[in-house]
Amino acid sequence: MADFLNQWGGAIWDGFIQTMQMTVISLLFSIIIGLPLGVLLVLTRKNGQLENVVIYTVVNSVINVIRSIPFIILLFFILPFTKAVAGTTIGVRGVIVPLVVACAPFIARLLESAMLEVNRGVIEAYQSMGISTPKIIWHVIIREARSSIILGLTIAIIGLIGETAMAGFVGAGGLGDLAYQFGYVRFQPDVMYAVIIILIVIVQIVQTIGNVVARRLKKN
Amino acid sequence: MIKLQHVSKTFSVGKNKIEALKDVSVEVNRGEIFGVIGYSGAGKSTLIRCVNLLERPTSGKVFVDGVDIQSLNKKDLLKLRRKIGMIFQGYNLLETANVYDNVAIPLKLEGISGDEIKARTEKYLEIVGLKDRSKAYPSQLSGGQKQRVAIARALAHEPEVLLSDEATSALDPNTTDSILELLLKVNRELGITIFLITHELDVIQRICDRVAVMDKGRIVETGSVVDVFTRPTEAMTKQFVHDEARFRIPPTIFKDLIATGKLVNLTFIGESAKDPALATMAKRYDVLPSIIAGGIDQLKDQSIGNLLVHIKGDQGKVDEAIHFLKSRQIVVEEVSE
Ligand SMILES: Nc1ncnc2c1ncn2[C@@H]1O[C@H](COP(=O)(O)OP(=O)(O)OP(=O)(O)O)[C@@H](O)[C@H]1O
Ligand SMILES: [Mg+2]
Repeated sequence: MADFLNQWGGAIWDGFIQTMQMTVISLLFSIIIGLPLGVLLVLTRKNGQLENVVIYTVVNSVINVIRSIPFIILLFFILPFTKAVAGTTIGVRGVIVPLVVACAPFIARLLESAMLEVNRGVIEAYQSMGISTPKIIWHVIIREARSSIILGLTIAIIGLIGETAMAGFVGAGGLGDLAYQFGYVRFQPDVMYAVIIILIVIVQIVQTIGNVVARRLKKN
Repeated sequence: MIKLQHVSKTFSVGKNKIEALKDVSVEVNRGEIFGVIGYSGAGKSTLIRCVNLLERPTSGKVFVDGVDIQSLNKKDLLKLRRKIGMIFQGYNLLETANVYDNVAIPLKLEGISGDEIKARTEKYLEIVGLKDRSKAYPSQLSGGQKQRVAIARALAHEPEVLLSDEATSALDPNTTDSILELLLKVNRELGITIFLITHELDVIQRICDRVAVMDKGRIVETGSVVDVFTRPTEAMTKQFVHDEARFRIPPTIFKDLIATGKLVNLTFIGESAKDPALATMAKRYDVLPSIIAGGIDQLKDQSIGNLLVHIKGDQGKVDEAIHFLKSRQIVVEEVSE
C-alpha cells in the first residue's frame, strides 16, 4: 500500500486535480451558455411569453443535433472550432471547448424541463401584479425550479466527469487518462482499480450533495 | 371603475375557433362587490382576465378608471396592474418562499423600499389573520390559509380593485364563509372594489351588491342581487336559482297537492316578511293555505324568505287569493311541474 502510494500517489493526485479543473471550468461555462438558452427555449416555445416559432425551432434543433453526437466523436469533429476559440487543441485548455459544447445544450435542456414544471398560475399571479418578465424569470421561475435545476446539474456534473475521461486523447490528463495510459496501455491494473474507486467515490459525493441541496431548497 | 364595452374574445385552437366572449359589456362601480356567475366554460375566467389584460380581447374596449387600457404601453400597463389585485382558485403562491416572503417578494420586485415592505407585509398579514404564521411554508398551510396569504399579497400593493377568479371554489363551506367574510371586510374597511367570478350562487348571495349571469360567452342578465334572484327573467338565471334555492318536491306528493288546489312559491324580501299576508288572504278569500316547506337566505344587506305554500279552495277563490298576494310585494310563482 505504502509502496503503491509512493509510486502513484502523486500521479493520481495530479489526475484528480486535472479532472476537477476540467469539470468545474466546463460546468461554469456550460451554465453561462446553457442558462440563457434554456430561458430562450421556455420563452419562445408555443404559448410562451415571447412565442417565436423560428427561434424555438432553430435552438431546439441545434441542441438536438449536438446532443446526438457522442462526445468522443464531437471532440475530434470540432477540432478546428476548438483551435479557433481556445488557441490550442491540447491540454486542459483544449478540452474545455468540446466539454462545454457537449454540456451546454444538455444544461439548456434540463433547465428548460425544470422551468416548464413551474406552475403557470404562479407566473400569471406575478404578471397580474405588474412584475416584468425578466424579474419573473429570475425570481419566480428559476426560484421555483431551483430544486429540479440542482438535481439536473448533478446529472450534468456526473456526465462531465465521465467525459473528461476521454480528454486523455487530446493530452489533457485527468483520472480517466491515468487509468487508460497506465491501467490499460502499460498494463498496471492496480492503477486502474484505484482510479475507478476514486471516481465512484466522487460520483457518490456529488450525487449525495445534489440530493441534499435539492431537498433543502424544495421547502416542502 | 371598470368598464368593458362590447368585448369579444376568440381563441384559435388549430383550425377551431372558440368564442369565449361574445359582445360582453359590463360596468363595475367604485366601491361595490360585483359578481359574475355562470357554469363551467361560460367564459368567466376569460372575462375577468381581460380586466388586467392577462387576456387581450379580440375586439371591444376595456376601461379602468376611465383609461382605455389597451392603448397603454408596456410600462404603463405594468403600473396599472399594480392597482388591480388578483386572487385565484389555485392560490398561486411561491412554494419555495414562506408566508412573509410570499407577500414581501412582489413588493421588492416592484421596487418598494425596505421599511415600507416590512410595514406593509406585517400590516396585511395582520389583516388576513396570519401574522403568527409568517415563517410557515405554503405546503404547511390549509387551503383557506393559503388563500389568505394570496389575499394579503394582493392587498399589499394597495390596489383599488381586487379581481377574484373562483377564490373559494376549492374550499369547504366553512372556509368559504370565512374567506367571504374577509372579502367583505376588505371591501368595507379598505374601500376596495371587488370584481369576482364564481359558479356558486351562495358566493353571490352572501357578498355581492350586483350580479351578472353569464352563459356561453354572453351576459344574459345584470342587476342587483335581490332583483336578479327574486325575479329572474332569463332561463339561465332561473336555472341557477332553482338549482340551489328552490324546494324539490317528490312527484307523488306533488300529484296529491296539485289535485286539491294550487302550489305557489312565495319570496319575501326585506320588509314584506313582516306583512301577515297569508293570514289576511286566508280570511279574506276563504282559502286554506298550508306551508309545505320554507327557508331563508341571507343576502349581503337583507334576507329573503322562501315559502312553498299549498292553497286549497275554490278554483276562482284561489286565483283571486294569488292575485292578492302578488299585490303585497311578494314575489309569487306558481309551481306547475
Ligand atoms: N387559452 C385558451 N385557449 C383556448 N381556449 C380557451 C383558452 N382559455 C379559455 N378557453 C376556452 O374558452 C371558453 C371559456 O373558458 P373560461 O375559462 O373563460 O370559462 P370559465 O367560465 O372560467 O369556466 P370554469 O368555471 O371552468 O373556470 C372555454 O370553452 C375554454 O375552453
Ligand atoms: Mg374559470
